[in-house]
Amino acid sequence: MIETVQTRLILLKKQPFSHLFWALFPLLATAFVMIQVANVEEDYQIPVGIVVEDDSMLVHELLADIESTPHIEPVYVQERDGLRQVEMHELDSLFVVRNQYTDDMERGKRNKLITSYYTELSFAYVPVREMILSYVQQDFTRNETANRIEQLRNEYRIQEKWDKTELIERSREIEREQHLIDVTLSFGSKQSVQQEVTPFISPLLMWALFTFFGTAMMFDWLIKEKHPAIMKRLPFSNVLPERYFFSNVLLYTVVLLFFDFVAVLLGAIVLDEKITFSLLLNVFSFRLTINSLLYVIGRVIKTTYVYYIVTFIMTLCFLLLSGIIIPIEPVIERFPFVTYVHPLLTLQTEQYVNVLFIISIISLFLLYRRKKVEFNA
Amino acid sequence: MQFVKHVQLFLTIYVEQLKRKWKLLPLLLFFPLIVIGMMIVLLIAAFNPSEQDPLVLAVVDEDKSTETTMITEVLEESSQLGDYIDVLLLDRERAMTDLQNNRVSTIVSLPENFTAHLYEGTPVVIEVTGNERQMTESYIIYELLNSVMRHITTSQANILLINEYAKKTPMSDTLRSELISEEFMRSFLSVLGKDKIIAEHSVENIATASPVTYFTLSTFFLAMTIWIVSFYHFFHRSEDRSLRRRLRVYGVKELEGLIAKLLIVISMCIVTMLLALVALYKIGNFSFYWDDVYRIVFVTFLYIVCFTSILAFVETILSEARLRLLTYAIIAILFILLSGAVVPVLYFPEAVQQFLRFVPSYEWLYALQQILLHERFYIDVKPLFIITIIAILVFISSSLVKERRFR
Repeated sequence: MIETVQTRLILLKKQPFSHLFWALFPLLATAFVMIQVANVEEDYQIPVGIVVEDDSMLVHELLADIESTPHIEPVYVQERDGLRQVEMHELDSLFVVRNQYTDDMERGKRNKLITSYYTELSFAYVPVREMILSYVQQDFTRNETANRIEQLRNEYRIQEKWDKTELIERSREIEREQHLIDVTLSFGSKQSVQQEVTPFISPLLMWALFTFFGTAMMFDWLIKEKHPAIMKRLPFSNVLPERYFFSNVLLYTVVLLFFDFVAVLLGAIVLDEKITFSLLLNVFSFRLTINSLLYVIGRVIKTTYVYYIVTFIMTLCFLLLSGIIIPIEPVIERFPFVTYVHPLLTLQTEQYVNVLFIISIISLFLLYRRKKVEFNA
Repeated sequence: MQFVKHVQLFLTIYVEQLKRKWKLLPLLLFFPLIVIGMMIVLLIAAFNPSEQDPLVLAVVDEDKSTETTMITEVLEESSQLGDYIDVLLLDRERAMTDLQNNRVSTIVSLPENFTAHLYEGTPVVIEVTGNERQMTESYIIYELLNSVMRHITTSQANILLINEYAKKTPMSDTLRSELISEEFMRSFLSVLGKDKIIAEHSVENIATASPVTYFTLSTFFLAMTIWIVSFYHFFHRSEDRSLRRRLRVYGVKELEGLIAKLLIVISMCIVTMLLALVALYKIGNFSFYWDDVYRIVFVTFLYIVCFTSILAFVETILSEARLRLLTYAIIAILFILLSGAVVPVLYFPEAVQQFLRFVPSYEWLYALQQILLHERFYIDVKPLFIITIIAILVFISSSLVKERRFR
């Protein structure tokens, strides 16, 4: 083993940057992607068309509420023009404030106060509709309450005048003063979870994907060192080829594990997450899985060209089936064994053992036996 | 003359390579289609809620006042919370065992004296207990309840206001509490029926709004982009340093090899594009005219030339095979993301939208959409044309500069 370390060090002196780059690549790439995603999440603006047919205080308040909503950019248009833009998909959706809006509101009628247009590609439609609904509903109930109180005043023939706008203002005040209802969420034994927005992309998955890719790129030495010129020399040093590759893979695994733990610790500190023992154990198992998998692939494939293509396609498949781009939950629900085959999902769901790991170990064993026979003969 | 001769020489080498590896070609052609097919299957599985089991929401009513009983009954009988949520009225123990057996997604419990506290204005807490095995579902219900509660907060403020003013009238206390309870029910039903406020219209424009057509075009775009990269990589040749040196001694420039490569890659891409167009014509319900075909071929040709020149530029400046491959992949992914094929452009941040006009893939897809979906006759090819010229110039000059430095 000591010889392995020594020979590797001599080799690394020749190309220190390439190895360092691929070792740090997962961490750097994850950080880069997460920062970009955070930026995009922060300043995206969805254009939503608004047609205002009614011009009153009530409508202006509603519009102010809509404008103050983050990530929504109201675009004031004429109905015909807006409709065309929704069709051309230049606006996400279109909301029309009808001209009898204020009258209906004051009379306590709320059916069809607003008309909306959307297409099948309007991704933001449902949340925007809910947002506008909630503001209209609030205004509506306040108005209704004011009407109700007015009714009471008439029933009991009270002389004192109660001003409607004052009533509505008072209702807002009460709402602001008293935080009356709270909803808490907890999961069984675990303590209550704060109202925390789950990030759009899981950093752990992202890191695992980049780790697989980086390791695959680093492991091309398995193929480069299969070169006849190198292999011919091995018998002189009294080292069996399989033993040579195995001890080097082992060395790489130990060093990369160090990088993995550093990356996970750093990630946990930055994202303010707890590090559990099971997570570390899963990272360990993930590393063993991908390294043994790449070991097998590297031993079977003969040229670097094919090796790069195969590992690239594998990365792509892992990415598509990881849930980073397309939600994967329905697939998992139907085929639960997926989490045991896909290394990224095994890591995320903390299942410890991956089927690919077992398969790789078995095929390594078979490979080793075959090569040994060849060697002796 | 020398130049043409060398290019010809390289061309024959590449044709040889093509003949040698032709078995890989079908794989290359089908690879993007397989990937896209997989994505579509996943998307359908992900966004087809009708096949999902409904979420089961258990309500534990520990208050047992008239109001809460009525509310929970209304919830249990009707599907006011949406079609995918089933509401069950259970007692605490039963709900807990069901949660542990994964039969219930979430438990919502109304605490004792819930209504009484609400009327008095004492803050109350509604507990939501999630199922660890159904995290997403629990979050959905939690968010839903939060939005209902925001409505109820408004209603409650209104109820308190009525209470306040009712005290000013000579109304008896029993009458007043009856009035309040009535108001409570009214506002609750009002919250449930809030969808009446909006009259919804789904806009159907056969050309643009139909996702099938939109995504058929996106598929053509995605496949074409992946084909260009994979064809380019298909003609990869590993030249070691000694061979390069020998070639240079004979006065062969790297540029000549690259131009030969571009010529063969571009011609293969054009053949593939024509095949794909025929497929598009047969499968998609677009109406093509002869003029359209001419325009489509022209913009696609520009895109192919532009993209391959960029790839050749990368090959010139990066000599490490792995880094090259990584850069190809990054460029392809960026082109795909920024084109608007996967997510329509209007959802991009303002900062990104500003430089989209410099992204060839965006320009190309935009032109295709204008021709095929909006049936425009005139399209502005100037930006794409300029980008292509710049890409070619950058690639050629970088190659020449590199040659000079090594001399």
